[in-house]
Parts: sequence; C-alpha cells; structure tokens
Amino acid sequence: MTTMLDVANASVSFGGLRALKDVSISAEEGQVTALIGPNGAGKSTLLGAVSGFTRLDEGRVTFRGQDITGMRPHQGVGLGLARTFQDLEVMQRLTVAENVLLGFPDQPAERLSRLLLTPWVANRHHRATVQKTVDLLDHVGLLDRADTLASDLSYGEQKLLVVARLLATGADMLMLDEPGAGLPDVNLHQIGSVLREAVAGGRTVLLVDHNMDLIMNYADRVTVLHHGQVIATGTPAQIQANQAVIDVYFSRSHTAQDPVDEPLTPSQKGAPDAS
Amino acid sequence: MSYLLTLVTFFSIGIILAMSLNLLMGFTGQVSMAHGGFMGIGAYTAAWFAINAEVNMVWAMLLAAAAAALIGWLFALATVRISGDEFILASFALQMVIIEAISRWTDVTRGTYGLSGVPKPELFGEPMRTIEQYAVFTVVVTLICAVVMMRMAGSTFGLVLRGVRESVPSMQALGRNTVRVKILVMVIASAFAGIAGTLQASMVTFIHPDSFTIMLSIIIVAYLLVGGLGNMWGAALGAVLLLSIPELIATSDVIPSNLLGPMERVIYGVVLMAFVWFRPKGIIAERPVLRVGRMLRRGTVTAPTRPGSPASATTPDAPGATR
Ligand SMILES: Nc1ncnc2c1ncn2[C@@H]1O[C@H](COP(=O)(O)OP(=O)(O)OP(=O)(O)O)[C@@H](O)[C@H]1O
Ligand SMILES: [Mg+2]
Repeated sequence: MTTMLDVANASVSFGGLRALKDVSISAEEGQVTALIGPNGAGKSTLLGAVSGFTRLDEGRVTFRGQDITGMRPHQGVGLGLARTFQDLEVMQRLTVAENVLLGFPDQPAERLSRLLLTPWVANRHHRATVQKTVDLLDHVGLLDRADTLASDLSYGEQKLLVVARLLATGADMLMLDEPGAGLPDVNLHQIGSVLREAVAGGRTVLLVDHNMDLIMNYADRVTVLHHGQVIATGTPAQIQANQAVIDVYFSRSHTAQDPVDEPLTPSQKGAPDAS
Repeated sequence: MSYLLTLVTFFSIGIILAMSLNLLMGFTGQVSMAHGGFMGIGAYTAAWFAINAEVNMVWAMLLAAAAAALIGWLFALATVRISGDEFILASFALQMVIIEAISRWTDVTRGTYGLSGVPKPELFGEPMRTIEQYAVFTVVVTLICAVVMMRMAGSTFGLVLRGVRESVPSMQALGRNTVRVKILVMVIASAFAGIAGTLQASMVTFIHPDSFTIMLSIIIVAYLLVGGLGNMWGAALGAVLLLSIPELIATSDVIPSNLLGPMERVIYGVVLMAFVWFRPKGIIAERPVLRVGRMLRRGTVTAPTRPGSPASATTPDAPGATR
C-alpha cells in the first residue's frame, strides 16, 4: 500500500489562535481516510492547508512523494488533488450543468486561441465535455435538474452537485469537507454510494464529517482532531471504543460550543461499549 | 440619409463599448467606472499616430487597442487582490487619472485645446471621403468585434468568467488561475474600448478631454443596466436605446432647444431609475450559456441509458430524444 498524501507536523495559527498544532496525518491510496472532531477542531483548516488555501506556519505536505507545501490553490487539480468546501461555494447563478462542466479541467473551449482560431476543434471538444457532464449528472441523479439554476436546488441537491463537480476534475485524491452534514438520509446514501464507487474506481478520499453513519460505513481509517491536535487514529471500530474520543464528543464542559451536531450515540447500536 | 448613417456609426461605437464592458462587469462582476477613460486612451493614441506619424487609422486602431490594453493590464495587476466596492473606487480613481493625464500632457495631447483634424481611415490606398464609406467601415469593424465577443461570452470561456464572478474559491479549487482570468478580461475589455475610441476619433475628427469623462463611463454602465447585464444582445440593445433618447428628444420639438441639454440628463436619470426599480435584470436578462435539455432533444448529446440506476429514481425527459 502506498501513501498518497502525507501531512507532517503541520501548524497553522490565525493571529493568536493556534488552529493546528503539530498535526501529522496521512492518506493511503485507494482508501477512505476520515477526519473527525468537534466544531473548531481544525478540520477545515487542515483541508485548506493541504489544498493551498491556507498557509502553513510549519510542517510539510507531500503528495505522491512530491513536496507540495505552499502550492497555490489553483495548482491542486493539475497535480491530482481536488477539494470541496464546507459552505459549498456553489456557483449560484450558473446552472447545475454549467457548475459541473466547469469541473472538467483544461478545456479547449475556454482557451481564447482555440476558441477563435480553430473553433471547430473547440466545438468538438466542447460537445465531448458536455456529454461527460451529462453522464456525470446522471450518475449523481441530477440530470433532470441540469438546466436549473444552482440557487434553485435544495440543500441536499447542492451537496450532490458539489460532489459531481469534484468528480469532474478527474483528480485521484478527493477531499470533502462535511458532505453529509445536514442531509436527509436519502441524500446521505446517494453521496455515500457515489463515494464508494469513486473509491472502487481507484480514487483516494479524505473525508471530513461529523456524521457517524457515513464514517462507520465508508471510512477505512479515522483520525480525530481536537483543539488543533490529533488525539486518536485508528479503524472506525477502534475510534468508537476510544475513551479519549468519547470524552471529547460527550463532555460539554471544556468548550463553549456544542460538541457536534451528530453525536456518536445514534449509530452506536452495534458498538461494544458505550460507557 | 447622412443623419441616419451618423446615427448608425454612433450606435456601432456604443455597441462595442457596451459589449466589452459587459465581459468585465456583467460576466466577471468587476464594475468599472473607467471604460470611458480607456476609450479616451484609444482615441488619443490613434489620433496622435495618425496626425504626427501619418499612420493609417486602420493600423492606428491596433495601436490604440494595444495602448488601452497595456494600461488595462497595469491597472489589473494593481487591483488583482481587490473586488466589489473597492474595485469600483479604484476604477473611478483610474478614470480621474486618465483625464488628468490627457489634460496635462500637453506636448502630446494639446491639453484642453484638444486634437483636431483626425483623419478617416484609408482603404486600398484611398482615404475615405464620404459618411457612407465610413459608416460601412464602422459597421464592419463592429460586426467583427461583436462576433469575437459573443463567441467569448457564449463559450466555456464566458462560463469561466461567470464562475469567477460567482465564487473565486471554487474556481481556484477547480484548477483555474483566477488572477490570470481577471487580468485577461480587463486587457480584453480595454482593448475593445480602445477600438471604439479610434472609431469615435475618426468620426468626429476632433477629440477633447471632456469627451471621455466619468459621465461617459457612467453612461456605458447605464447601457448595461438598461439592456441586461451579462447578456450580449441586451448590452447592444441598451446602447442603441440610450443613444436614441437624445435624438428622439431633439427631433420631437416638444422641448425648447435651450432646455435640451438639461432635459437629456433628467430623462437619462429617470429611465435608469425606472429600470433599476422595475426591471433590475434589464430588458434581456442573463441567460445560461449551456442548455443541456435542448442539446438532448437535438441529439447533440445523449442521456445514458441505465437499466436500474441506484442513485436516482427520477427519469429526465431524455428518452424522447433517443429513438
Ligand atoms: N480565517 C480564519 N481566521 C481566523 N480564525 C479562523 C479562520 N479559520 C478558522 N479559524 C478558527 O480556527 C479554528 C479551527 O477552525 P476550523 O474551521 O478548521 O474548524 P473545523 O474543525 O472545520 O470546525 P467545524 O466542524 O465547525 O467546521 C476555529 O477556532 C476557527 O474559529
Ligand atoms: Mg470545518
């Protein structure tokens, strides 16, 4: 098994707030690595640091053996690394199909030289890309919404759209920031099965989420962040049984915020001990 | 006849201005108050080369486009990190700087005396003499510009611009260098404004700093607000409509001639406010670039046939297209 992504000793601070403290985490090729932790634990910050949106104060990010620390945000897709955002960043006034079409990289139809000098080449490529868009929309179940403005989609549909856009990039490493949060079960399982198929197709996934159903059913490894530090790493079963993790998710005393929107309890039916 | 041809010429120039600003403002979301200034840079560049170096206005037009593009490029480099209201203010400042520069750089621009005797273009070694010839020339140049800009707007390039307007982070996450895109569209818009300036200079033969003030920049923005931001046909329509208003007032005989100037501004203001209030998207609203439903019906693309797809229960209206 080869390591796809490796983050070593990452530290990030925002002013006085240390969002990540000496965090190390890695993702193995062809697996789903989950990153969980209470609100404000630093999960999104870590995704930002890996994808070039957030500057690391210390530490290294290695992707397929190549040092990508300090990469610019738009360079990720070219290297094979793509991400979603917790707040979705859907392009509201574009249609669903247009959002997904923009996921496909390096299109001749967006290069002015091709567009104006060899329009027939650009048009041929464009038709092929639209066909791929249609196939992908069908795959995630949004084809009947293709010409709808993204702003007219339900929250769940917008989350599916974001996943479709992510798949369109063709990146080998997919990083998702809370794809399951706030979703009804129907959409949750749609996203879960789409992710499972992506992994079956050889992609590597880094999944940030609170939803235990999603984590327990789809993750191979889980890392738990708390106050910007790694407090546990292991298989989903090991994590569920880990006392430090249980303390973090149930104690409301050491943080003013609510620990999580989806506590461990509901999905612990099968777990051996729930203290 | 020549009155009509004069109108057609001014409409054409307005259409180039509106469409090019639309790429920047409607598509990319960068509201610029300097488009009139860029037109001025083009007008002065072309006029200077034609008068002092006897360059044919056809080639001077390319120099004008290049000069405006250069200033646009420098401005874009200076403003890559800002957007929204800050960008509006920066462009407003640029507009002021351009007019100041034109007024003060008297060796080249003759300052407030203006430049007179701007020639008409020469074609096949012959200078154009009649308004008919010049109107045809202007219309042809406008058609070329319009086709190029509509091609940009109606393609994935146009979608990338809209994507940058909607969400810079997501475009970056999808592999687009959004800084490069913003610089590129500024350069393109400025170059076309420079071409419009050249056409104007040849048409009126006399240019003056007052011809390219903030008032003009605001009027170009108004073309888009009335016609339809983000829609190229709307931009063209807005330009023609607003350019017609002063003509309609002048020919109607209802308003005494000494009141024409002030009335024109009042009517502009009222029309603009009416549109912003009653029809905020303009006469022709922004439309999607991509229409999948239509492409499916025409068979340009086909919906996948799936035996029993797990992901979705609903079926699109596609089967009708695949026989
Ligand atoms: N741009 C920023 N400026 C200042 N502080 C920030 C910034 N981004 C994040 N933070 C802070 O850093 C800490 C970690 O935030 P982060 O968004 O990574 O948490 P998270 O684990 O993703 O939480 P959630 O589950 O709520 O999404 C929080 O205290 C947050 O307030
Ligand atoms: Mg987060």
